[in-house]
Amino acid sequence: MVALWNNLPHLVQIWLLGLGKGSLILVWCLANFAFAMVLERKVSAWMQNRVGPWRSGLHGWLQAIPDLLKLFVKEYIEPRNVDRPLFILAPLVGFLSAVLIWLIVPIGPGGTAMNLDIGIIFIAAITGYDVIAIFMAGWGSNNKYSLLGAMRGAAQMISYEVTLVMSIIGVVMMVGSLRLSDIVEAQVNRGFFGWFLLPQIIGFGVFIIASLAELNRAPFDLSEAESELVSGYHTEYSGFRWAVFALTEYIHLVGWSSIAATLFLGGWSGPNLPQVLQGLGNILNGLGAFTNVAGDAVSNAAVSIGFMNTGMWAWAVGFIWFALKTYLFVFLAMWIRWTLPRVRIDQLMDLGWKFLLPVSLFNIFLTGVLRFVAVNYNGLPVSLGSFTLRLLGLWAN
Amino acid sequence: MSPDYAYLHSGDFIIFALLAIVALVSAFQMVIVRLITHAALFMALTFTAVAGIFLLMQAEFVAAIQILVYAGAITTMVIFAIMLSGLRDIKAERSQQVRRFGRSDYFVFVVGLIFAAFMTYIYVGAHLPLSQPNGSMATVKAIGTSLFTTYVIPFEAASLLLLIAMVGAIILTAKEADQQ
Amino acid sequence: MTNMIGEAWRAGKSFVTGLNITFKEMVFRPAITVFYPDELDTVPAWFRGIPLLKTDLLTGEYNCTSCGLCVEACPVNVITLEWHQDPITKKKVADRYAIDMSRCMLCNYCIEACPFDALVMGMDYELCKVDPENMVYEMEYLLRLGLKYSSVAQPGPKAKKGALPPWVFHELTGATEEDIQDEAGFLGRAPQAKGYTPVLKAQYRKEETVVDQPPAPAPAKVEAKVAVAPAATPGMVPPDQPPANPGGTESGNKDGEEAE
Repeated sequence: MVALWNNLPHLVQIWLLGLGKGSLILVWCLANFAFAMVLERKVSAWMQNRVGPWRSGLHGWLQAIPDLLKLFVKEYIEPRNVDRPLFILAPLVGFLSAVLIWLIVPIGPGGTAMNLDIGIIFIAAITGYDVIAIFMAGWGSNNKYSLLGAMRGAAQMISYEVTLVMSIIGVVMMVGSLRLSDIVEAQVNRGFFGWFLLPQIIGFGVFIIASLAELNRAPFDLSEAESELVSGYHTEYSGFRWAVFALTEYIHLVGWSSIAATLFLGGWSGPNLPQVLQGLGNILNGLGAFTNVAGDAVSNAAVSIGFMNTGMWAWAVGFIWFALKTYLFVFLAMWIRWTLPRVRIDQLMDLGWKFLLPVSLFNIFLTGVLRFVAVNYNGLPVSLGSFTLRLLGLWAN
Repeated sequence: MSPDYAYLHSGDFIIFALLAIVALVSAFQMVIVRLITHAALFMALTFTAVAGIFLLMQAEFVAAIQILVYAGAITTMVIFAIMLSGLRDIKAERSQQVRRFGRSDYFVFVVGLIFAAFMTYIYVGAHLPLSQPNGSMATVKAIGTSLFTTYVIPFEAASLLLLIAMVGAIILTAKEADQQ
Repeated sequence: MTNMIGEAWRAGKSFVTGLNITFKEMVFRPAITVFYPDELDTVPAWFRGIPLLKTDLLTGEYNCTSCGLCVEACPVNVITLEWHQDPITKKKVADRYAIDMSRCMLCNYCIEACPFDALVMGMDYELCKVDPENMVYEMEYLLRLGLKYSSVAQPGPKAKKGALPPWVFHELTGATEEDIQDEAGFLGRAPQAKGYTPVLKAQYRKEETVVDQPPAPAPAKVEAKVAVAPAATPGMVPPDQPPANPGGTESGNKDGEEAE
């Protein structure tokens, strides 16, 4: 098999690899959509003391399949005087920009489809197409609600894109690289308390708020505010074209959650089973003489399954950690959506320009000062978070 | 076949040709299309195709900035300008059939031809370096380093210029807001 | 600056409070969902469903006296009442009592108008039909559904002291199939002449009556009555048969407007 692969021409190899990776990304996106959509409905139901989808398979967890089948066979309703090319292309452009995020997200040790040097900037650039997609949908629909929704969406997204990039810069400054895999490696080296959640707590807060706004998600879902604008830019869409918008929304959600997990929660890094057992054994050994037997047993068990530290096992553990952290953020977004009411457009703009942007600039300044101090006076705390942790004597490295 | 023209059959050249055709055609469409929103979107397509050409040269950073700034921000800005200038004017009926070739059109054609010949002459005569297969020169780190060491004066001058432009824009709009 | 920090602090605090509330709801409160086709929800006692005819479970006669007040009261004219006078008992016998539920607006006026406690707003649902033409519910159906709202004790006219006022909505009486006195199949028949004693099931038989007269002759008496009754009173509606159409007695008409 390997010999066959090596015998192929280079160009064929490249194209096959590209096709394979692209198909895998698409499948992964669709699976995530199916899960996240049902999760959204389930979470909203739980918060409202309901049960949510229940009838279709596994207590309703397979609801996405009949939903998509229904949307496949639905009629395409097209209003009169639509701008037809824009109307048809808009969902596809949005879908493309949502899927492209997954190109560079490291979903495991070395598990990146394209380990781009520009990492974060690639994501920020790709997000620009969302605005175009929303504008195309709103303009092409020939509907006042669509156009208003598109205008709101464009204004909101372009405002928050600035804030979003600014909030990430703190992390980038601490790592010294834009590459996402480098960011994860840096967090792995720093250990659990060195995840950028604590040192970059300001940037983290700004990033969460700004990415919610960037995703057009409640409480910032002004562009599809159903109480004002029917459903915003996708009012006139039906059938599978609408389904593509729904797909886009959830793939985006999961994509941004994965980026948040990568930037602030250490991506795929996390303890695997032998490490957990080793730590448990150490704790048991430290407790006293009586627990030494159990502690030794646990440590031996950890050594005996030491093969799980390497190879596919490490990859699988990394992937599981990555998925867990990603869905932590997905759940957070859903939790916020079903808790908070929608903000007004002027409140949104005030929050973005007058609060979040200065705060993120301050974060950059603070990170720069601390970094300067850390580089020039070696041994001093690198950041506020690590400073406090060093005071507590918990600094791992 | 001489080695100078071997690249014509490589995959890179085919993709470059496709991207170049997209860029040129959409730029042309941007100029001639009647609906101004379509013009803005064709502009975004042109920028995207140009970014693709940058990617082909392994200048990822430049490509990303091209998309971020031009296809993203500038297009959105143009769209906003269109939106704020009144929909009724934009949605005006397609005016009556414009005659295809007038006297001025021939003149424009001749001037364009001369300009194209001039540009071709410059490009051929300049002996521009070919793009390097290993894109080591275009990493973010290299760009940042050169931006803050070799080119720090132009960089700061450009930032100052932008700041002045921003202040000027704010003053202009504030005056308008006061008058209203 | 301090103002901004204070704002942010307050915003964050209220944000966390909100998240806390929804999280508690999510984790600690069970779902209140009723899995409808599998399990049916009990509707509250004040539920206004289809108007049904009540039966006196002791005698098996319906309470309706064909007075036509419900027909008068109905704002949308959905009640159809046709009646004739029974030559033997000299009482009005309803030939047809039908409610067009496709137009009924469940206003409860017919129940309030009824002086004999013969109507009740039922709690039955799932009465859908494919064709609205089929939503005219006939007397037989109304009587059958009304059985579970009927009581054994005759409440009598509402003028009677101590009786429930008609605007108090009825609850389920808890009557079971056992309680229904339908041994001879004369359920839902017209009021009988005075002096008639119905056959009672064991739980409603009084001990002294058993002692005074042996129960043996009573069934025979009823059998005779029943055998005679269909011929004598054409308006009698056994539940298993379509309502009998009286031959020449067209004293009532469709909307009951000129019933008097």
